[in-house]
Amino acid sequence: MTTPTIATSIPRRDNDRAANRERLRSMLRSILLPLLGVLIIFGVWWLSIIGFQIEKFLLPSPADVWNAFMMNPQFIMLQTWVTLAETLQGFILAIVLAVPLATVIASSKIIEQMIYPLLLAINAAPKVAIAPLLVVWMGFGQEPKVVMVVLLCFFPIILATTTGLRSTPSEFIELAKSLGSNSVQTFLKFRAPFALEQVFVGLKTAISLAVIGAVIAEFVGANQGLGYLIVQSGASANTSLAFVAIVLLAFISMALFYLLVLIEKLLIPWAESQRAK
Amino acid sequence: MIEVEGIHQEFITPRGRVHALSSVDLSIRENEFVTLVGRSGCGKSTLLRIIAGLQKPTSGRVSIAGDQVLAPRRDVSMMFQRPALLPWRTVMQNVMLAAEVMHLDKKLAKTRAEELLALTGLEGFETKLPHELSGGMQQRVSLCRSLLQEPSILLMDEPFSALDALTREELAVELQRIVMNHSTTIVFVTHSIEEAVLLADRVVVMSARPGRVRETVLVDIPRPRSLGNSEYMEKITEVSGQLHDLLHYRNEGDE
Repeated sequence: MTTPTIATSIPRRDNDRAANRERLRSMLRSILLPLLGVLIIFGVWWLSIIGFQIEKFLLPSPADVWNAFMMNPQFIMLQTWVTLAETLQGFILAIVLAVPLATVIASSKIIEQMIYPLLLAINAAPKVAIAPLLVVWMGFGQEPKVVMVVLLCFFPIILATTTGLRSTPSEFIELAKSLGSNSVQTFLKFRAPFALEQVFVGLKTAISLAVIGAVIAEFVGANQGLGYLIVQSGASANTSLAFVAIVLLAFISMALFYLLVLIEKLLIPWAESQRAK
Repeated sequence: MIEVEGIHQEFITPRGRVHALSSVDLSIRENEFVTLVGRSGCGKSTLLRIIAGLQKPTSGRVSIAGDQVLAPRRDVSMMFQRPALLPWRTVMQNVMLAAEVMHLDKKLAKTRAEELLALTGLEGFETKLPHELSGGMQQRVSLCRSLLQEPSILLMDEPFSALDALTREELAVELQRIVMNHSTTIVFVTHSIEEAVLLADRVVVMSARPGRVRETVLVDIPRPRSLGNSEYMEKITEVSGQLHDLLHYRNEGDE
């Protein structure tokens, strides 16, 4: 809730109008300021290329990057789609695997002690080191990419979900008990909705890792995708094309992140209002 | 109605044993309004949780209507210090919680929920979310929720202590009005002398370390009571004074 700081003697309508103006202003600011930031960076980028006379194969100008994209937009968008599909498949698979396991871990101390160190060990292993193995096991298709995404996403999701399920305020557990709620009811009506906010923290961490996972796997062995495009353009010193791929990866990452933020807002509208307090 | 016999409660903490309650005996009649008053750490909340079946005593027994309490009962409902409203549920959905968990008749429960909300002045707020309400209103919703199952016993653990003084008194007056029309036995934990005098038929004064019943004070003042000017002012002042002396019998300031 936004608490108006204006004295209560001012009529309510004026108060609302002032609040609306304030909201509009802050919305404009949140759009315009980042845009300005991007513009300044582009300016510095361009100017330094002109000023220091940097070669195109070392650092292309924004125009070079744009031209590289326009040379073959359809092909490039296809590569983007391939990477996006791998990312999403892996991400969803990670959720499907991690959430039930987190539920089990959160509900039993014994299972937690049994599985947790193992999970930590798996998470500690550098995933990049596994990438070549995945190619050996699964070939050059989509599967090793999806598996790599799962490997990277799995841990943050499981960690956040476990924490979320454990952090139900004690008064709600007491309330559930005093109502004679059974464990299934307690889970569905109390614990799970409470965990959602934490789960989304994990999902937001995982989605950025998901894109990274897909690209790493493509680096090691692929014949399509943005990661493949980067490797290819490196081999032919086509730096502009590599930049196109990087920019597109950043777009994918950001778009997916904000999509999650949107879903979170729709799914748990109460969370934000609580944070505001 | 409620028989508390020889309750001992010890907690084992990392810092050693804590003797929370020591040989507590208490007998509460049907439809009686009893307040448990004492300083922090006198075990009054623990005693309430034992009566609710949320805590197993180290020794001794509690029985309700002749049956020993081993787990929470359906005819006993508990209200907490914090409203404990589920933030994703509307006011109505929060009040209906007991109906869902206990699988009560939905239609009857809905009618009753509407009555309770009207009775507590929450008409028109049914579809609001808890964070849109003031603290006092949230606690009213919590009261409605605990009354939905038509409990024969209502256990209240400092339910108004988080509210400002004016709202607290207002709610205490409202609570009297609501329960006067129902046959409900109430055990109400508080550390406020005012609340105790305003609400109780009988005040049980507890002392700390270990927690035990120090004295029982009958409050023989007609209802509805208020702390404002009335012909019973003198009586209210007298009982308040008596409770005050009982609670401050040692000048240790160990709050």
